[in-house]
Amino acid sequence: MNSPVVTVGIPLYNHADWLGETLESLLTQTFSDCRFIAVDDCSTDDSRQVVESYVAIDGRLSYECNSRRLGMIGNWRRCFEVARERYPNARYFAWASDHDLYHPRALEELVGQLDNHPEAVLAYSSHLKISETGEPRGQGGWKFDTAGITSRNKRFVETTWRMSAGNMIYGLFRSDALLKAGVFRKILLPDRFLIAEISLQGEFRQVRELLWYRRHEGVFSLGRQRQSLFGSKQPWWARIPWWISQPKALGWNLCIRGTGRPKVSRLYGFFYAYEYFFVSTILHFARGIRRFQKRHLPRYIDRAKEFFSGRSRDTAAGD
Amino acid sequence: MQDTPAKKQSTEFTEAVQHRIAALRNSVAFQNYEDVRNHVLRMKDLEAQRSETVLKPSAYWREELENFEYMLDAHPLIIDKLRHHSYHVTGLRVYDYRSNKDSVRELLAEKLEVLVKMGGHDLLVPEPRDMGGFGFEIEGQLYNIDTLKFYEVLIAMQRSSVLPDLRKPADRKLVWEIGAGWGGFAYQFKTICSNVTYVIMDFPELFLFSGTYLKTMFPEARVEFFDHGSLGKLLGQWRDIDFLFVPNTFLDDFSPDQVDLAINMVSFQEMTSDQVRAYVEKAHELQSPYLYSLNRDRSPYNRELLSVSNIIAERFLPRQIPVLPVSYPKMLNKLTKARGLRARLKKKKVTRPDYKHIVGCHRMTLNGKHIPGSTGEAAPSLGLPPGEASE
Repeated sequence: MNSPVVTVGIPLYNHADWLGETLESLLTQTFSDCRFIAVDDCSTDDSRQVVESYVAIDGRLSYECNSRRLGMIGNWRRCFEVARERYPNARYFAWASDHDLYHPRALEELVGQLDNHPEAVLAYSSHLKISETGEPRGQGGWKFDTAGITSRNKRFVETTWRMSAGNMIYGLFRSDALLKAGVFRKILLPDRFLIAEISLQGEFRQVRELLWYRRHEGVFSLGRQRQSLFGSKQPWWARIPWWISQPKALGWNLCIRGTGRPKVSRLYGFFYAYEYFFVSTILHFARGIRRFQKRHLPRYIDRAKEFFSGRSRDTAAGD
Repeated sequence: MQDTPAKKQSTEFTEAVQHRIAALRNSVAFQNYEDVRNHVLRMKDLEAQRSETVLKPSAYWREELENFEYMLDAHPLIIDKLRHHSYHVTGLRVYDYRSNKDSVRELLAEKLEVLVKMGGHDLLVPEPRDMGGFGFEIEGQLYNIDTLKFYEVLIAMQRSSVLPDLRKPADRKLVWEIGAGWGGFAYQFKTICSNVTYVIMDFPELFLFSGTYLKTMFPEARVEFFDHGSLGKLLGQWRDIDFLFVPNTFLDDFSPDQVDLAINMVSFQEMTSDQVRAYVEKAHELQSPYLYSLNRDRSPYNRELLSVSNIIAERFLPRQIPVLPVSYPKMLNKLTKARGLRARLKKKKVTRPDYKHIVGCHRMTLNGKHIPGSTGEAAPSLGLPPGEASE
């Protein structure tokens, strides 16, 4: 069987309402040398029926269901495993969300980036957040890449400071690089960990146009992520703060297991792990401050205003 | 008896005017107008022979069209200042752009600056001074609401990855604008995407504006008008044509072998649901990969339309592209400019623009019908035959 250039894994879980539109936007890609593998993590809604109605009209799409619920990490890994088993020679791999929309030229543009830049391991586009009803949220157009940065260390530092892992993870990966980076490790914030690790292998390239429309539901929280990542069985290490567990895991991989060799020696691995710990700690606390500013500060200012205006009224009444 | 000085002066003026009119009568613009008018009259004759269609002008549009009936026999002075008369179509008047309106000019300049930050100078095409072009002078160029509206549309198309393909010089593309008004957007589009055949479908009377304007602004371009029996022949050689004008009532006969983009600005909202659906279905049938729309979901007074975006969604997957936080006719204000903590402290919700930039992407169909949920019917050849993936 001929191997496609791109395989796309679509992890499914209870998004039947939007799944039809998502599949349409994937199956109408202008880049057609690709296969789509939908892996259902035991959805309780109509996901299966929706996918099967599209499987009937386009043989590039296939469906399979896990025998038990694996959680997000397990299901994402399963998507990659199935893709590798069926199409071991496919050059590129991407995960596609089961509730987002893709521009028809999304794959064409991303494949073009990786084809034209052999030094790149990941290509992604700008995106627009949309609400459940499809209304845009914000202006979109977030920008970050490491194109042209040849120094591995500089690339790693830039990535750890500026990455937006939750968005970049839906980009198009060079399959071999993804495999070397451990795919999607069983750890809290696995996307962040993967993007950091894969940055050691090559550049990231971004297409500035909006080729991906990301449907947002609810607000991110680590508690919610713990539940969805690991399914019913949460491992004990999921309780360790990510800014401690991730550098530790990176050190383990690079220094002890030597997974970065020959490009990254064990000694350099130690420095990368240390650097990652330093940046993660600062980012963690900076995020805490930003969250406070965003969610709580306006409330406190309002209360202070009310307090002082009430006091001035009381004073006026007293006079 | 000798003429008094006053009488002599008045004669001089009359002679100067007559001389000017005679010169204008021989101008390229007026000759283009006369040519366009002949085509328009023939189109109207052909239209009259046709049976009733859903695309005939509504009562609202009949009234609008009557307002510029004088354009069927326009004086050379009118054609010389054609843009001053396009307020019938666009609503913009020269009066609003006089030099004493400094505060409005500042607001427009501010809006332009914000747009340039988003879109760069690459897509910016100012209003030409020819044919009575008007607007506020900003950095030596003319800009008005329409100029910025079209610029905004081009930015939305660029952001949504529609434009880059059309700007490639490699292969000729066909762009179909439904309702082009006075031809302003066609002018901007053709200026930045030169390797494009631009088809305008509209009420024939409006070609008096758009046809004359575009023919004059692009003197080298090949401009063709629909004529009896000619459409098939013209569409067969569309790659050699720059502008093609087709009356809207001949929608059924419009079948080029390729459409790369269908556009509608501010006229779907004025149509009935059936009319919008007819255009959307035609764009889908012609395999147009994109349908761009800048419309409100429904004009407040239009009771014959449900929702533009819902009708588009029947055949195209719609994506709304944000450009500015205000609709194109409005200027930015303090509230829309507030960002971050300041905006949150204001606690007032900024209303969303009611004109939406929507880019619709061609939807899949099964036997001509939209598919989700349907199974068991014969599969069209969208990709590989079913079952290949599981081999």
